[in-house]
Amino acid sequence: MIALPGLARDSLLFLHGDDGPLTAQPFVDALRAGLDAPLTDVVAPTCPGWTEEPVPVWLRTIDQLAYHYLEAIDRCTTAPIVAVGASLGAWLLLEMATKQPRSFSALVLISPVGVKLTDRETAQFADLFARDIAARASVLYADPEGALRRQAGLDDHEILGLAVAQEAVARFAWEPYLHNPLLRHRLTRVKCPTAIIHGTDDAFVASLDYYRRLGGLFGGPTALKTISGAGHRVEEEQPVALADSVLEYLRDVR
Amino acid sequence: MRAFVFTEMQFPFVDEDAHESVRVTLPNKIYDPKVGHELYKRYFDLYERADRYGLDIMLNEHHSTATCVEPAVPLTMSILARTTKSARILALGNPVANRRDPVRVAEEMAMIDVISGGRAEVGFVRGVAQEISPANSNPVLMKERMWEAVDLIIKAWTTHDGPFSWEGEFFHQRQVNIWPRPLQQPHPPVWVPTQTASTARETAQRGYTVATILNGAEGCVRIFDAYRESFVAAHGTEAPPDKLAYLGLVFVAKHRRDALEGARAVQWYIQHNKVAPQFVNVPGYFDAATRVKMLRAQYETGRLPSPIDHLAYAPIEELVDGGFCFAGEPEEVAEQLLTFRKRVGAFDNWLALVQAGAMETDLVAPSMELMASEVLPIVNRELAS
Repeated sequence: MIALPGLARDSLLFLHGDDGPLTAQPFVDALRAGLDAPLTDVVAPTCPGWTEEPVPVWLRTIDQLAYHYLEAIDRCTTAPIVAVGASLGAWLLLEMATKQPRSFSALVLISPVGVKLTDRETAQFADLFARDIAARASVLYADPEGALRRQAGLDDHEILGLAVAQEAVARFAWEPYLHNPLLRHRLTRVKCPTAIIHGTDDAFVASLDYYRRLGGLFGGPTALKTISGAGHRVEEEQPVALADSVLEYLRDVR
Repeated sequence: MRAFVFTEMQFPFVDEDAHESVRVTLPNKIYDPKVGHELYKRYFDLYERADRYGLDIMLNEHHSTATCVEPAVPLTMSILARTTKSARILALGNPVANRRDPVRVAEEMAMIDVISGGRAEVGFVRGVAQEISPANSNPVLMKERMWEAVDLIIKAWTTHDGPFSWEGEFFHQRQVNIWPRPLQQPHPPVWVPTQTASTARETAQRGYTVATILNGAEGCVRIFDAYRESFVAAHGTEAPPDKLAYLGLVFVAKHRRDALEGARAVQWYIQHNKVAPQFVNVPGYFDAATRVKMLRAQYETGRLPSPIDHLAYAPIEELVDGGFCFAGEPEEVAEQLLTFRKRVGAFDNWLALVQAGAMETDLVAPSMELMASEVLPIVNRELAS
């Protein structure tokens, strides 16, 4: 189901966010350019559901995806690896790290979702399915006008990629919306050093304090870092600054 | 040819310009329950008159909207099951992809069938895109959920020797053993409304009645042809005309000028359906390839054009030519219907949207009466000959 060609003990695994690999590519490129020993490569797979390949009917939770990713990692290496995830990709990493902590030596979670800390009448994350494109941009980006200009310039193939990505988010995260209610109760199993990085202008979460509170639930050492000039989609708005921040953290914990 | 009359039971007193959408997000403080009480009297009176004229009845269900204040089709069906005598009572339909408990739907429809003396016609529908958020229904795999729900309902209707269990992909039930069972055996007629050829094909394979709505002659042919082809392939015989249905706007009057004026009042239905784009262009409801054009329009203009925008203010004559509307004096409407039938092939269920907006019963009832007393006899004489 999932193949991670090239993944080895010295790889950095990157899992893209809800809008798929297209908008994350500049960040992946910056990450790859700045890698230093012992890391030798970035492996950035496209998640099932985020391609035009059909997805089995039974594959419709992030929890289930996590088992298939762990199986794929185990096939490549039994050594703990460094992994970075953005938004929904970070949620996927949290699911994996709670199921099999030994697989990870360090995690970097960029604007993670997946855990709900608000009360029942307060949505933890802005509803992407209830906003027109301008209102979506305003909760996702520090510079919504810039995002709208980029979207208007996309070609049909790129728009198809976004349409596929949006469908995948609905498939995996419609209800409960962008979280697994059980995940927060096992977050102490996240044992490895973990950084949470978020944009200073992230309006997608109910409160920026979410990220600090989330980190406090982990069972290992946690760092909280911010990137200015970025909203929820840090990897799209500040790819180079984000790559620098990720690499700096990984050097610190090495 | 049978005629099923239909109103969406609108709450028409909304200043649309003041709101982003009249569906999903329109605050219900705008709904005046006292006015709503009078409107329900109007709508039920209209249906009861249809029964007296010898017409059949079509009902539907929508949620969180001023365009159709009918959020529970079993409720309207059950009222009419008691207050009408002979009309077939068609639900078009139960949005079973959005309902969490198909067995409850089976029970509701069976009870209505028994109360009405076997007059229930039961439609099942995936539901329009703008129903997804109010139902909190995952838009991905909706068709699969709908067909599993239909299978479970049919099994609940037709199992009479005690409970069965169901552990499907989407629904799990234990001790399914509905009381009452339907009066019509083996079960009430099943209908599926659709605007897509793929659903028409699946409906044909299952032998259910297909209905298509405001598609015009060209769209209707596409649906009916897909249905007929699949019906022959699945059953080895031609699809009977009573397995096909078409809905258009309808207004009949003694004088042409009055009929055109009445039809323009019915056209209100198309003009007042303002929906915010995010509740139409829903990921998973439409496949990604279909959504590319919709997203491009939104990215470039911020708007999402409706596929029926061109009908909203078109002259009635143009709507009649396209097969979206049947309007005129009785002989004229009969001729329009027969011509439409020649264009799209034989079908025996004429679904007629006869009321929209603030149209009062005094205006609509004579139109329905002429449908029953003059249009249908002419059409049926012609078809018999």
